[in-house]
Amino acid sequence: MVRFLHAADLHLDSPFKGLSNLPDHLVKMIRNSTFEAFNNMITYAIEQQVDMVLIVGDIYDGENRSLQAQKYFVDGMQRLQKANIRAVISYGNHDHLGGKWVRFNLPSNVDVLGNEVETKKLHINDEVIYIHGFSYPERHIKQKMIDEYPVAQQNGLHIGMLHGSLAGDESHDVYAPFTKQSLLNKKYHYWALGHIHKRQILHETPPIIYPGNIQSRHRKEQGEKGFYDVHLQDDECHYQFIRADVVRYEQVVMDGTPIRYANDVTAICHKALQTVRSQGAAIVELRITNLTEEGHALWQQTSPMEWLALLRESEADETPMVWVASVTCDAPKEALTKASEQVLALIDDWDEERWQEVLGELYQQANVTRFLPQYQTIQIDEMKAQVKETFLQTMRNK
Amino acid sequence: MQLLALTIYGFGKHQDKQITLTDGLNVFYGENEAGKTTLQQFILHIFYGFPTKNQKQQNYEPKNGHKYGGTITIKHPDYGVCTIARVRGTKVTGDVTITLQDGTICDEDFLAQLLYGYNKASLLAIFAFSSQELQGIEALSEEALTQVLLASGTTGVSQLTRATSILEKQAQERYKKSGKTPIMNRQLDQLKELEQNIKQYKRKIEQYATEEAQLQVISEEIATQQVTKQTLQRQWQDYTLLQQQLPLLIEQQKLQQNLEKLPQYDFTLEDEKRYTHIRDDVFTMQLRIKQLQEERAIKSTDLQFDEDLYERAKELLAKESTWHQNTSAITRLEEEIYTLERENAKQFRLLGIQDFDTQQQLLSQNVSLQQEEQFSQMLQDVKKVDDQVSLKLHSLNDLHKELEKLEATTDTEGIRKRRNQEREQRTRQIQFVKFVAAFGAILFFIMSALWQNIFTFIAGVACVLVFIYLFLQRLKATPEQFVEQQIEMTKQRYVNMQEEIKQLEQQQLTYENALQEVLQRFFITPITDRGLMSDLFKRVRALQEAAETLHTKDIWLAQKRQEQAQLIAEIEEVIDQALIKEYSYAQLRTQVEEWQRKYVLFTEAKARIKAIDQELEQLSQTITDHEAWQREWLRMKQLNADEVFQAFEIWHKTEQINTRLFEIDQQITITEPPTLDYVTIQAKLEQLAEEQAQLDDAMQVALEEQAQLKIWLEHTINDETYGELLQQYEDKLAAFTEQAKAYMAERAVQIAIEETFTKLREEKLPQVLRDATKYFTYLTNTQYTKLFVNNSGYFEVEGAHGRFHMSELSQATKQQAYVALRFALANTLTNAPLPFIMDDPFVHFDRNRYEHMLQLIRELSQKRQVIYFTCQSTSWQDTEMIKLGEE
Repeated sequence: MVRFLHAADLHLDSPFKGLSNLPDHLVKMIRNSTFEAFNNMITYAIEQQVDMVLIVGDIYDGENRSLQAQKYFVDGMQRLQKANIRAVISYGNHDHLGGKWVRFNLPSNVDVLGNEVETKKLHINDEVIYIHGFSYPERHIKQKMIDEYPVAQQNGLHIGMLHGSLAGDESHDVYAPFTKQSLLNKKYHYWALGHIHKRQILHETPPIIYPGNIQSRHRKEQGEKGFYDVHLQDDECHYQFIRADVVRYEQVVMDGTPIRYANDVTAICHKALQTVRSQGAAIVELRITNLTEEGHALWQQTSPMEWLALLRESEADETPMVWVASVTCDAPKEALTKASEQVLALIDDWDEERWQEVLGELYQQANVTRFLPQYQTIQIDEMKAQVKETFLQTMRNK
Repeated sequence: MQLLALTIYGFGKHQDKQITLTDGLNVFYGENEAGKTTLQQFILHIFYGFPTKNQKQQNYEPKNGHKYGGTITIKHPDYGVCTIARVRGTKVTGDVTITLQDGTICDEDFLAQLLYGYNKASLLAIFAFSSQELQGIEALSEEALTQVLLASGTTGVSQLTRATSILEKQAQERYKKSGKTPIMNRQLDQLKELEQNIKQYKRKIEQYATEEAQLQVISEEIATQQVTKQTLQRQWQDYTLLQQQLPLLIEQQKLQQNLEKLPQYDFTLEDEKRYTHIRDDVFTMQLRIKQLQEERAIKSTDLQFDEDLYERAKELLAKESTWHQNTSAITRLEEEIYTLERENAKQFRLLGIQDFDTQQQLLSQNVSLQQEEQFSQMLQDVKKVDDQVSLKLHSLNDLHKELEKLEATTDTEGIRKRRNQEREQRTRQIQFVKFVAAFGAILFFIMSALWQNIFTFIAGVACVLVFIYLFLQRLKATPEQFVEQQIEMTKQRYVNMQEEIKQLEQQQLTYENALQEVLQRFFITPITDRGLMSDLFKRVRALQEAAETLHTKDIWLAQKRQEQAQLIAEIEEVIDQALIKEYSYAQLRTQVEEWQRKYVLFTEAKARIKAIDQELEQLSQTITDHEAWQREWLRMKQLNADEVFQAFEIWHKTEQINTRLFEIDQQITITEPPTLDYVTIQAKLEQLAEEQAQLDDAMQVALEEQAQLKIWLEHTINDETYGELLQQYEDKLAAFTEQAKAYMAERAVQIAIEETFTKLREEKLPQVLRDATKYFTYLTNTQYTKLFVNNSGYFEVEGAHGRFHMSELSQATKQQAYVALRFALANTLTNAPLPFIMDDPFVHFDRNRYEHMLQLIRELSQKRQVIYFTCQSTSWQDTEMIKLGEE
């Protein structure tokens, strides 16, 4: 029997993206969040006296890795070493071996997978464990690295470590693509995947798991984050998700039906935030739905920024910290003028090409464009919604 | 669609009212305050709901609590006759019930469908006209007017125009291509600055590996330098030691050379000590012998001395005290004898005895105590008689004086008078004393009674006695008798006294004769001095004693003189020289003292010579022994006596050298000195110090560099700035992205609005302009014949007087053009047959224009229901009018 932790995508010391105007104390906390999450994992490993820890790629956040991140990682590995815990790690697309960055020496309990698929043979608890995997030699690995993995033949436990994406999944860039079947064909006891930040169990037996990242780094990475605690014995496998995150990102939708007065807004929001808070520190996007006409009328009286400021202020002293990133409400069912209808219809009729023309103004300016999100990443649906909301908001402003 | 009937339950001032409408023109006429506007609002409120609190609209809820709301019955092309009822309900906007022709009941959601999806605003914008609206045309700019006209057919276009300008302004605040202050421009600057910072930090991080390697190199270098330094230090220490021990090494070398030159002797310190000692002893002893012999010769002279003579002299000298005692005894005796003789002579002279025989006779008289007693008795008797005679003589004298006194008082009257006075005086005195005594008696008795004291009582008695005495005294006889008696008595006594004195003188003579008789026995001459007489016996006795003493002393004196002479003779014999008597003992003492000195020397010399002889014998024996040992020792050491001390000296020298060599050996720690040349050593030391200093400098530099590197590395690895900068950058970037998206959205909206306008113009304009020209021509009574849009996109009119921009027209004409356009646009909306609602819009028109307008409205009402509110009854036919406020 072997017990190990499966984690991936630590992205140590990477900044939290997509948040602005954070107060200083929050910046500090958020900046430390990857360290703290990592620390939580190491502490868990030591407390639970697991046999080893697998980290499947993207330990650091690429070119922007700080020395501190590496020092922190080495410290963590040393802590494991003291507790007599092995670690097997691989580097992913973000921290590939081709990068010209300072590399710290790792303690002897750490095995690093090389830039070609290789098998590490470990003896733990009278078990022989074979760990197959590789580290990215460069940023982009488009070929099917899975083909290089050997089929399990020897007696013992076989674990595959693979940092990559499922073939056919268009939502992410293609990295070392694989199919579920191709993994199953290898007859391993456990597939430890990395790269995708969203936690997913692709297959139950044998388990094929993306543990997700250990700490949310973006508003789109929502919910609890952490790693898997895995017990593996022969063909039996038990795994359990363990939270490691320090701050999580959440979207909360609230029913605004009862809202009549301003304090109803704060009360409903506070209630929702308390629920979030009970699960620890978080950054929250609030959305209020089902506002009555009266509710809308109330909402309109105050600008969204003022509502946000009000909520932040009323929540400032609560612990653990829950930061309200935004507060929105569904557009009111309002009677539109013909003209407005025509404008909205027109916006709906814009095709992608037209959108590109419409949004292209800033992208044509050299000194601006490099700070803008890549045009490809802009979701037209979202943009369309925002444009419409902007229009309606302006029209509402009498 | 047309309105068939209005049923008002309660709305504003209207209550329980039923109004039926025709399908064409419906003119509601009423004075001001008749409720025209209320009725208009009733239609709108039933369609679109009662106002909520937040809407700034007038509330028409009946104040008296009457049922709120009402119904509107309409004829709908699709749904037939329907009734829309709105009353007060759970919602503020009221509860809606729609009853369709077939009896179906629908809720509010169905209302929008009935009203062709037109909301209140769009209904008002397209189908409602009011005078205020037309008045407002005047104030619009050319462009705005065009927009309004253009948009008149499409609801909310004017809002779009306003929206465009708002968005433009917002977008400008966010970003300007070459701006500095707009939000995004500022954010861009911040981002660039952050980017710059991040790049710097990144370079620092890249530098880390290089610096770490450099640290490794330097650390190794320092380690090598430390080894070198240790070697240099050891060498330097060795040479320093050599330098320190150099004098010793040189001395050692010299001493060894010296030692080789000297002969070796097998001596011990004991040998030398003993030999020298013995030699010195022999020498000392020989010297001693010589001294002793000389001393003996000198001492021998002291041996000539007569011991017997010295002994006799000493014996005589012992009698010196006897001599002196005798001498002083002789002198004293001589003096005493002389004194005694003189005293005796004096006593004899006192007694008047001068010649020797008489003296001898006196001396032989019996002067016993018995004789003296007898003589003394005789003397006392004589004296007693003398005293009595003397006393009687005195008394006789006193009596004689008293008598004279008494005889003197008896003579004269004056004397008597004086006596009487004296008596009276005395009596008064006595009386006073009597009184005092009586008073005192009484006082003392009282006191004794009080104190019970015997003494006071006695005092009292005494006082009584005094009183009684004085009383008795007075009783005496008269003074003259008294004096006579007294004189007589005194004369008698005087005679008696004289007789007694004669007898006593007789007796006195008897005693005197007896006394003289006794005295005759001692003295040839009689004596009268009674004082001398009393001492006579004492004196005689003393004279006799002195004569006795004198005799004894004379005998002693002779004896002593005899003894002295004998002593002098003996001394003369012993000292064999003539003596002066007084100084004989001094001479003897001088002689004895001299002999005593000689005697001491004699005894000493005798003892000394004996001791010297013994010592001499001992010394010569010892010398013989010593000389024997010396000879033996020299033989053993194979030395001549005269060589011995030189040998000792050499031996000492070698010993010293050996000791020194041993000492040096102890101090020298260097086994094989590379050199003994001081200069070479000094040079080597300097060279080593120089090398070491250079090495130290190099090491200092290396250590400093190492420390700096360590600090830098430590600082860099713990520097959170990079992570913080990245987070800051992301923060700013997110803010920027937000702004950029907002900017893009605003731009997109502007574009969309722009496009809408273009579309409106392009699609609807031709038909609208055709109808509008027709209406405008009619309304202006063919004064203007064309309404069109010029190449610039602005409206223009054309008439008999030429072409004009809209803004160039008179107000009324402008309004006519606007109304014409509005009607034309409404025409295009055939799919929404909602009625026109007009609230006296043309009240400002002149009669001619007004008539034209009414005519056009009548015409239009053929196709679309018109609800017209007015306060002017002229120009309307009674059939057309529904009068308000009259029922």
